[in-house]
Amino acid sequence: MEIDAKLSLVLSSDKVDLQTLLEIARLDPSADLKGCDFSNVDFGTLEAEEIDLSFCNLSGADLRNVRGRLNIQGATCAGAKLPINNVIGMSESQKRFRLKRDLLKQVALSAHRFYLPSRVAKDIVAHIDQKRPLVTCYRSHTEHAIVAQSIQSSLIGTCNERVDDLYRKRARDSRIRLIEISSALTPARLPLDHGNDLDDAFLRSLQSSETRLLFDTSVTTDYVSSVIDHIKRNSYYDRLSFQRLSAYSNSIDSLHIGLSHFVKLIADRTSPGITIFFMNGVSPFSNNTWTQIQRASHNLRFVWLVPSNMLYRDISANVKQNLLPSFVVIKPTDLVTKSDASDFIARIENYKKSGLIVSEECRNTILSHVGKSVADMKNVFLSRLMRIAANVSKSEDQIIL
Amino acid sequence: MSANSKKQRDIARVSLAEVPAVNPIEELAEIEIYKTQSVTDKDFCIGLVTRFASYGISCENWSYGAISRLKEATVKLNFENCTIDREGRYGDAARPQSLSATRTVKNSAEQFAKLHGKISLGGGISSAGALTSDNRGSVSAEAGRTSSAASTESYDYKDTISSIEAMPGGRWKIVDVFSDYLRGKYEPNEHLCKINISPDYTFGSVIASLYFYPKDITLELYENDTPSIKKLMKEKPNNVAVAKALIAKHLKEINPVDNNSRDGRIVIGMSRIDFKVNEDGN
Repeated sequence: MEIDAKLSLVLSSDKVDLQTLLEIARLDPSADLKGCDFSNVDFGTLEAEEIDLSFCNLSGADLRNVRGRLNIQGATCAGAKLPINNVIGMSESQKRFRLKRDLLKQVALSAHRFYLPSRVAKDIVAHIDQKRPLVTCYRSHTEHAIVAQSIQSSLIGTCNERVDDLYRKRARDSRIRLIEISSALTPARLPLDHGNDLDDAFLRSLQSSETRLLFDTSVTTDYVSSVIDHIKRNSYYDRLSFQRLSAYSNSIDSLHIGLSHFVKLIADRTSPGITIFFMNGVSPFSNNTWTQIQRASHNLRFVWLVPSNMLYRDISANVKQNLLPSFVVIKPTDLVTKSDASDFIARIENYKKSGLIVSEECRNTILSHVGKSVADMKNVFLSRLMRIAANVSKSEDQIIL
Repeated sequence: MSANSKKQRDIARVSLAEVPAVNPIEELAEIEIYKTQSVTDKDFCIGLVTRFASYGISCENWSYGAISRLKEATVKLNFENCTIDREGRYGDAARPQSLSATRTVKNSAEQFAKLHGKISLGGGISSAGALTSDNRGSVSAEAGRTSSAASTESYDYKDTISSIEAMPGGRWKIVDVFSDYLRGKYEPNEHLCKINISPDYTFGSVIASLYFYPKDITLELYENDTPSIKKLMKEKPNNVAVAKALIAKHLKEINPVDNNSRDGRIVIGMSRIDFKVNEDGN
C-alpha cells in the first residue's frame, strides 16, 4: 500500500486504538516509532515484544497498560503515565520514586475504602424473618459498593445455610429465592416521598393480567458470579436461586412497573418458600403499594439499600404515616470501636512488605479516634498521608507514616 | 621573507575541494557547506547554507493532501584528520553572567482598594439609586492602612534568539524565530566555524549532515472537507501521532542515506569538503 493510502486510512479511521492504527499503518513498534511525537497519546493495551520509544516525546502520554519491553531512553516523559516494570531507560531512583508514589496511592485507597458495613449486614440477616421491609443506607458511592457487596454476601450465605438446614429437615417449603434488583438510575436522585403517581403505575401493573418482565436478567457482576460458583460447588444450588436484575431503562416509571410485574410473577406462582428482594439503590414504594404486595403474597421480604439523604432528610409526619410503609430502619454505625481501629491499623500494616512503616505516633492517632466518627479517623489519616506523599524522597527505601 | 609573502605560501599549501552535496529529499531540505577565503596552512573556515520547504503527500485523485514541514533541524559536522576550533563558532554567544533587575514598589491606596474592594463609602445608596442625604462618603481609613502592603515588581531582561544556535559536539540547531516551522534559507552571516588541521596529516575532510527527529515533523492537511489538523489533534491525537510516524518512516524509506541510528534521527542531507596539504608547496 502506498503512503497516501495508508495516511488516508489512518487519518480517516474512527478507530483510535493505537494497536489498530499501527497495524493499519504497518508500523513496527520495535523499530518505526523511535524519536516520534506521542504527546498526549493513549497507548491503551498496545502489546508487542519490544516497544522502542527512545527519544520520543511522551509528554502526557498514557503507557500504563502497554505490554512488552518498553524502551524510553532519551524520551521526554513530563506528565507521562508509565508502567513500573519492564521499562528500559528509567533510572533506579525514578523507579523507586514511582513505586513509593504508587504505594501511597494504594494505601490511600485502602484507607478510603475502610467502612464498617459488616454490622449492617449482620443486622439485616438478624431481622430478615420480619415481614416489615428493612431499609439501610449508604453515604457515598464507595460505601454503596462495599455495603451492597457485604449485604449480597451475607444474604447469600444465610439463605444457603437455611436451604441446607431445611433440606436436611426434609421441609416442604425449603426453597429460598434471593433476587437483587439494582437501578441504572442515579440513586441519590430517586424521590422517597414523591411516589403517588409512580405507585399508581405500580399498582395498575400489579393488578393487570400482564406478566411481562421488563428487566434484563443477564446482568450479573463478577463478584456475584464467583459467589454463585462457590455455592454451586458446595451446596444444594438448585434449591437456592439468585438473580441479579438491573433496570434496562433509566426511567423510574419503567423500573416500578417492571418491579411490579416481577412481584406479580413470583406471587402468582404460589410456590413454597420465601423470596427475598434486595432492592439495591431503588427508591422504596409507598405504604399503599406495600399493602397490595402483601395481599399478593406473604412470602416476600424486602431489603432496601438507599442513599442516606433519602433516609435522613426531613420528611413530613404526614408522608411518614400515610405514604411510607413501616420500615425496620437499620442505621449504619459510624463510631469506631477499639477493634475497628485495630482493623484499620492492620489494614495499613498490610503494606509493610512494600516498605511502609506505621509509626507509634500514627498508631496512637488512629487509636485516639475510638468512640469517634470513622469519617474523622479516615480524614485525619488521609491528610497525614498527603503530607508524607508531598515530601516523599527518592533516596530512602522506606516510608514512615 | 616578509609575513605577507609567508601567508601567500601557506594558502597555496592547503587545497580545498567541495564535493557535491547529497540532498535526497530536496523538496523538504538541503544543506551545503562551502570553503571561504580564510585559509592558512593549519586551519581553514567553512560556510553553511541550508534551505527548507515542505514535503507534500497527496492521494491519486487529489481528493486530499498532507503537507509536512520541520519544526527544527540539526547540522552536525564530522571530522576526518581535523578538529573544530574552540573559538569562533557561529551562534555560540556566551550566556549573560548576571541579570540586572529593576524593582518598583508602588503605594497606591486607590489601586489596592480597587483590587480588593475594601474601600467603602459611608452611608448607603437608596433603592432608587440616588445618594441619601447623609452620604458624605469618603475612602475609609482601613483601605489607607492596608494599602501600604501593595507592591509590584518588574524585571527588565533582554535576550537574543538566533535561528542558528551552536551546540556541543560540533552541532548547530536550526529553528525559525518567527514561525512554528522552518522555511526558506538559513545561513550564518559569517563563518560557521574554523577547522584546525591535525598535525602530521596531509589530507582529510569535513562532513556536514543535516538531520531531524521524527517528533519535529509538523503535519498540515489541505482540502475543503478535510477537518483541520488542530481539530483532528484534539479529537484523534492517536491518529495524528501515527500519521506523523508513518511520514517519518516514509522519509526514511525514500532516503538512500543509512538511517538506522539509535535515536531515530533522519539524515536528509550531506555535504563534504576535502582538504589536502601539499608538502612541496605546489
